[in-house]
Amino acid sequence: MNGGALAVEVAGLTKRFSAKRRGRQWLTPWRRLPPIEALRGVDLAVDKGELVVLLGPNGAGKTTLLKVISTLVRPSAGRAMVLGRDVTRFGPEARRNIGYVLAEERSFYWRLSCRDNLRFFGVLEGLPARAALARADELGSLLGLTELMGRDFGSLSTGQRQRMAIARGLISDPPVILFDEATRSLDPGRSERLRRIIRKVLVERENKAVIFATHDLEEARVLADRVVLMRDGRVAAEGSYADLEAQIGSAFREESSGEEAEFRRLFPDLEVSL
Amino acid sequence: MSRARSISWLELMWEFVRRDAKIQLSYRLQAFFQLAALFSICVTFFFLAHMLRGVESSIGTLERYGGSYFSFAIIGLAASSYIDSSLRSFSSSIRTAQMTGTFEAMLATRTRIGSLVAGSALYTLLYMAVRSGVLIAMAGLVFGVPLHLDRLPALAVIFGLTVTATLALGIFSAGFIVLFKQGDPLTAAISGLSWLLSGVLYPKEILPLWVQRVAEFLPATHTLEASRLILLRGAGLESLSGAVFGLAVFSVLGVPISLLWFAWAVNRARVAGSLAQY
Repeated sequence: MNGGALAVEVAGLTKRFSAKRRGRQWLTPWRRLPPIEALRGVDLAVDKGELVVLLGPNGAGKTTLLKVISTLVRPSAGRAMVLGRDVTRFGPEARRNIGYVLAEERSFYWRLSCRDNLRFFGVLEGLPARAALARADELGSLLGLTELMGRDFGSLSTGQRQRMAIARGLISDPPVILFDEATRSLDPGRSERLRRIIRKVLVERENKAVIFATHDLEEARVLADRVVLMRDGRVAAEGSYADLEAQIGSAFREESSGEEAEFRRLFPDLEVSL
Repeated sequence: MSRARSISWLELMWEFVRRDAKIQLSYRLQAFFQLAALFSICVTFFFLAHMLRGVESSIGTLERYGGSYFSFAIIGLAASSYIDSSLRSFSSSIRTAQMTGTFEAMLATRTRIGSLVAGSALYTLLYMAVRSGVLIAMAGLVFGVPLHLDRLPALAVIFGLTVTATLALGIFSAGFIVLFKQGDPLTAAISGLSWLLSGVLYPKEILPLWVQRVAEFLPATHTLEASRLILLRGAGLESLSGAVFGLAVFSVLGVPISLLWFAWAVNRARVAGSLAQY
């Protein structure tokens, strides 16, 4: 059924959030507030066995795009398909094929052991309890969590929790995996190991489609088959890191130029380049 | 392809119960304190009833339920605390999951949101049923309340109808939490009115007639009356047709309406992007 379909296909995806009224805006309730445009006509195609890095500064729309693909947020216009299934119309069917590694590493049950946490989320993903436990042990050895499996989640360090979030995203062995800032709490050695796992195991050996959102330029450089540079809810450029290097640099510089000017105004005597 | 396949709904629900039981058991002293609290309730009302012993026989409205204020109050507390906690269990389980971040993680799985909400509330529903049962058993065994245990099948029917009626209201209030995050007006209103009008601590017959008519629109009124008549007077279902009918109407009308409302609320939250916000 899904044999020829792209792993992920996004076309003209737009997401507008309603702005919340604040302070004096309540005095004119009849006046419509302009919506916040998080995504503006995003197109994206990711094939099986491909690793695409969504690169962009904070607020570029990376997380919103991942949330639309994973059905957590409904788009305002356009469509997103996972293995040929429209995520808006077939939410549970689409989610069956997606592993979403959330940036939020506290989203576990702190008084349950790591093994029990993975078992629970494995069952929610449709695995029988025994299969979920077996898979949890498998992922434990892949991600260096074996020793921690019997410990309460609450006793883990931030980096260990992040690895648990990665294990949870992989628990059902889905064909499409979305990573949202997955390495942000990992030490350099573990970040590098995770990148190797993603590249060598998930993409090259298991032919999975991976979308990896990050604002880390070095990570994008070493990881991506293809970089999709996002700015202001749009795809600003797409290609290999080497081809886009100049554009990437200017995108990040421009994004922070306002803050830089403000910093210089406030602290004129400080040397800002470290 | 994904390793996921279909597991039964019961397997899924069991996993929720297992999760919540493990979390509760991790608070080791909690069970002891809760049992102590139940005993304390019994003792308090035992002495309150003792104080009223001289006037009990002159309270005509109490006669219908066996004439003892202690047994009247204990069954009222057991039933109303079950309904109260069950009502809150849906919205509070969503609220807690939103606050801890687990709601978004659960929503990202293939399990449908209806099952997530039902599963999250299930442990509380079971736990509160046991707790109410323990309270009544304690009243019978320790404080000598005469109970018609031969009528347990009739009680099970009333209990089942109470669960479905409460389910409807609980799902409705969960919709409020999904949309507005806090300030669920329904639970507060139903709970407050039930304590006031349904006859938890005093017979509803002492209220003005028009207020008693209003109380008919609360599931707790029917549950309380039926539970007391079954356990204290040995009434059968044939003499409780009013209560059975009232609870059945709540269930038949309430469950589909609440499911529609909940689905609408979830869709609105997905559009607003606020499903997992708190």
